[in-house]
Amino acid sequence: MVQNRLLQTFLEDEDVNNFYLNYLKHPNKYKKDKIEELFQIHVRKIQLLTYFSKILNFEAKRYDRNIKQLYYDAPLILDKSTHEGCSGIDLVRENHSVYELDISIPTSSYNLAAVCEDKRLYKIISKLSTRQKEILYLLYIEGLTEYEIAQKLVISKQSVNKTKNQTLKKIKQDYERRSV
Amino acid sequence: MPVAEMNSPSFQQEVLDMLKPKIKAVLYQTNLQERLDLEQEIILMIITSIKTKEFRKAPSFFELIEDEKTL
Repeated sequence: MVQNRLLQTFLEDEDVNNFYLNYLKHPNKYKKDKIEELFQIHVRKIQLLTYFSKILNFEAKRYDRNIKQLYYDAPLILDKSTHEGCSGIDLVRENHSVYELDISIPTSSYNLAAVCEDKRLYKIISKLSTRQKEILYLLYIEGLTEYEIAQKLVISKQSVNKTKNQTLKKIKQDYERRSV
Repeated sequence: MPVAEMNSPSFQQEVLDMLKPKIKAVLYQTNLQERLDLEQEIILMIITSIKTKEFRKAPSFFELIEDEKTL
């Protein structure tokens, strides 16, 4: 029994094995060369497989990085924000005047609690701070994105997101506590 | 070295077939939209590498068999 892994995998192939046994019985130059050739091909195959299984991961990562760089350098989209923190759509001139007032949203009361049908939820929500109610109202009732809310309230998008997460967590905790 | 056979399309195809699961696994780290592109890139890279890549010289079969006998 051979110990060498390379020889083992080579002789695993039934045709090769038979050919080799045949050679051992009736050795000649042609068979010897043929075996040597098959073995060289086998080794080359193993080498290639080992090489590629190592390299493919890096290759894919490199490709990913290049694509990201490409999108970064030449974005094809207007409505998503890019690296400079503003989206391409901001660069497009808007039609309405700066002085036009947005009267669609009642700024004084974002009456979020009024939407609730659940009594427990109503109580919890009425205890939230104005800013928290404001953000949830704009997010879920008006359906604005976090980015739009940030612009409207003149705060950062991160703080909108943070407030949203904290508020939802608080509501969930309170709700679960009351339901026990 | 049987160079002609190592550059033959059938040899390339064989190596590609063996690598197929690995390629598929690697694709998952990319966006859905980029996967097909990446697959093509990888296959192209593999085919060119199969032709050009030089490795350490392989040992001869009969030398190895002799080594086995001495063990």
